[in-house]
Amino acid sequence: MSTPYASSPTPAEPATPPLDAAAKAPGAPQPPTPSAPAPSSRLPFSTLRRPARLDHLIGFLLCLAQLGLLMGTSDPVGIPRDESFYFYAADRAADWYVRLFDENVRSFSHEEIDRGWKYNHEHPVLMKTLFGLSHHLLVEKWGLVKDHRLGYRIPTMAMAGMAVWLAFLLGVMVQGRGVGLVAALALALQPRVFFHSHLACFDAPVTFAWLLICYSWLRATRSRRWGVLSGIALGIGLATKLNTFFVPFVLLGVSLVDLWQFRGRTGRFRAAGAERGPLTYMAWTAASMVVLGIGVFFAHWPWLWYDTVQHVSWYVSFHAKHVHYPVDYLGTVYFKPPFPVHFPFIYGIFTVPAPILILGAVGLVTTVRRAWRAFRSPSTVPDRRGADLMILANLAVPVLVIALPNTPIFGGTKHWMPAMPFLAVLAGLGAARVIAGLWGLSARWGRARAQVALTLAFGGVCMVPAAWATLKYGPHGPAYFNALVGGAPGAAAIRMPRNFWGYSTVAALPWLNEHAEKGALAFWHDATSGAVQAYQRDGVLRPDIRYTGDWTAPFSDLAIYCDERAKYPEELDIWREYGTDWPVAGHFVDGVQLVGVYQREALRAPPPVPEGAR
Amino acid sequence: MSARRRQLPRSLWLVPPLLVLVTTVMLVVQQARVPTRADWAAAAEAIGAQLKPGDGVAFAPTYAGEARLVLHGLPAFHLGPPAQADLARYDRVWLMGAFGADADDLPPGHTLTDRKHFGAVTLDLVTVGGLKVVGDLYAELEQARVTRRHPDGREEACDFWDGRRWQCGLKQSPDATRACLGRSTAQRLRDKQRDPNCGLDPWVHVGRDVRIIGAEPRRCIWLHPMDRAEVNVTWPTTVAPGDTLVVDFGFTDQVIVDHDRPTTRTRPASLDVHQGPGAALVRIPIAAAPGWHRREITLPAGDPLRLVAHTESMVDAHLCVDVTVRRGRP
Repeated sequence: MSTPYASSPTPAEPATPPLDAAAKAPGAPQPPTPSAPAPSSRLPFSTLRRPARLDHLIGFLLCLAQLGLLMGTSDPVGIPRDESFYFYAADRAADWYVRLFDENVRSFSHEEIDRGWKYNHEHPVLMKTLFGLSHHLLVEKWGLVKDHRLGYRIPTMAMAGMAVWLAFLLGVMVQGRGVGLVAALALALQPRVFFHSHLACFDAPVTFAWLLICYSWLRATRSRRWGVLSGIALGIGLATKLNTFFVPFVLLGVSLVDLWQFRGRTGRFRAAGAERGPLTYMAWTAASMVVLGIGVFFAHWPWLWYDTVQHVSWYVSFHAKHVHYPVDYLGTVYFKPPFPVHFPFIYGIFTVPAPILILGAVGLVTTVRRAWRAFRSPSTVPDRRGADLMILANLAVPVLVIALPNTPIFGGTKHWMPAMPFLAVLAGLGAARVIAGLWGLSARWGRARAQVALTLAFGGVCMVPAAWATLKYGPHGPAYFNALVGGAPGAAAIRMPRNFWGYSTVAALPWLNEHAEKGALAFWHDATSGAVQAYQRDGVLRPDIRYTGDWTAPFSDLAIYCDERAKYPEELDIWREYGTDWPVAGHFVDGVQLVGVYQREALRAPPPVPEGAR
Repeated sequence: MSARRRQLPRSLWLVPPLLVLVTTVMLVVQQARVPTRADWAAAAEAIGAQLKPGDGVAFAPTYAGEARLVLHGLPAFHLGPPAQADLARYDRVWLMGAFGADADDLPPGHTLTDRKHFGAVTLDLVTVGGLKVVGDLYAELEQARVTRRHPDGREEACDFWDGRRWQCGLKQSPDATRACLGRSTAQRLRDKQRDPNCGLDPWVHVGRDVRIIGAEPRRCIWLHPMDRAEVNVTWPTTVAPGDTLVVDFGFTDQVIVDHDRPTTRTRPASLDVHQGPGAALVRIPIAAAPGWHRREITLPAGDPLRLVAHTESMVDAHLCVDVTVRRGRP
């Protein structure tokens, strides 16, 4: 057994927002003071707390609640382009696994691996495999789930639920149960996160994976067992999406600061005697991340088993030279770099519910001050094993990566979603800090239950608008903007994007089912044929309504246009072809068009011959 | 350490809860400003009951898209940014406004005659001032004649009207082309690969169109200039000496700014305005630059007008123009 949190001083509900107050808690070991340097023979005092079984139970229940909520709200969430591709890739992946048990199939042959894994090889396959197996088992084999879309989506939803669980645990670790609960709510109640948490795509899973790596790393700061697990967590992350490539570098930086602070407290980099210091744990974690992280990545992806160098280099270069899709931002449609550096910051500020931002800002200031104090004079403050800096760094890095002027920004908020759990934890810390400040609880912080109750009550009340927004806008999360920008109309006024690759088509289906003529030819604009077929397979779209293809307004009688500024000319193509600028139906968020349904005004007829014409 | 730190006044910790409260109130207020579909429908119904010839209908702001559902059957048009609105085609304009937009945002020179409220929708009736459109090439395009003059002096008639556009160089007989255009949508989709455009040039023609220019949709006449021929549009409109010819023009945003090439491939073009057989009244240079530009010319005589378009390159020469003759209102 490693030397985990044995020095944790706290009773049932420990540590405090005013960091120094923790040391005043009755019975708690006192942190060393400047005049009394820490004894070098012992690991220093820590205010981190190891989650107890009850915490895991609470986290598990939160996870189940989130999973249930997501499953219950899946139906009105439409299929964006990429999800329709992943449905197809998922089927191929699942098929490969199913055929493993067919003795007539040489599953490990080049041909079979290509058959299962070549399609959509720009992304690793963990999630696609889970989507496919989930659909195969839950829908096709066991019939437990009727809805095919839901069948594919359940793994994402499960991971989104586990992300809430982990956010809670991280909150518990860095401060306490109240913080954890507010953090869980703050992550679950973000309309855009909620939307992406439905999709059989990689963004919610990678948010979970990123958090899992960080949580494992934090546990691994004083545990070799967790050091090993953190390597597996990194492997899961790398197998989920490329984003997690950045995490080890972030954590390496935090680890070095932790090491430096250890030296500041103890006067040496290595722990004395038989004790194990951060250097030991860092070595375990680093070795595990290199060996197991990369090992899991290669092991999970059969496509890399042949022509490995060629395939890996293709994978890396695909993302290094990713095509730029246009994005509308503050009145300019950006088609190519350089993109504005402030894009993710401004966009992020406008798309997280305001109360979460406000509490997050308080938590941010509190945590920055605490991390700075620890950095400047580590011997005077409790050893928090880099937890504060870890949270700050992982809030910043996903956003900073997108802020780079040459990073593609077409995905919008989903591309920095891995930062959101850390914002949520900061919101929890902010709630606790406000309560402490208001009631001056620092002096009697030992009243753990009061702390939890007050933090949760205050944080919970603050989350009411976020909960309302999540339930109202969740199925159309990409159209959600907070009160700071004036909601969807305010965002439209300053030209912020409000749609996402054809998902919103789903809102037009009821009208089409009711009004479209039999066998109607429909131009689906941004929705793929795969998405249309998926709707038809689930019975939410009449099977006779046809898909005419991309850019086929002239060959259709109905058009379902998804508002995206860069695609505005395609709406005008419809106006021109149909002879009307006005939709017959649509879906509107706070009066702002998300989808417009157009109908050809008159039957085609030979044109008249004006006087003097042929 | 802690002793040295200043204790923040407890009242300061009221700020975050107050901010949360303020943003919640903002949310409630913002929601109250959102018009319902019934609000728009009621306003449209009121317009329909009082509509007169010469009226136009618009809504603002542009992003209040739900208004567009109720515009069927009304003489509706895209207003664009209200401060730059051109209302000269109408005698009166009904403006449905929401989210704080109303007729007060229109440029000066018009008169607000009436204002009503339908829930969160403001309905303004505006009596239009300033010059009035008396000749409109967009509306009268069927009466125009289009030709191409080649460098060798040959005149090519673009005299096939496909219902929206004047076309040159048919690949089939006019009757066969017309029959092709009259096919059902299903038939056209079936023949999409073989003959998507019935042998007509989808780009190089003169026709009614709508394009994004200067970030707004513009009703305009697609006037694709050519590098090896001049494109002539003869417009037999009724003009009086002293009338004002207004030419609005621009290249589409798609070829000027909204693309991922390092720079635009569009080359400058020019538009000559002739009246009668003589030399051009004016040559309007058209730069390969973003925006919807205007040129006003006082017409000296009553002769028909002729527009001649030139360019040095046909690549991305996506020119669109709106040409009107305007006169003072009685």
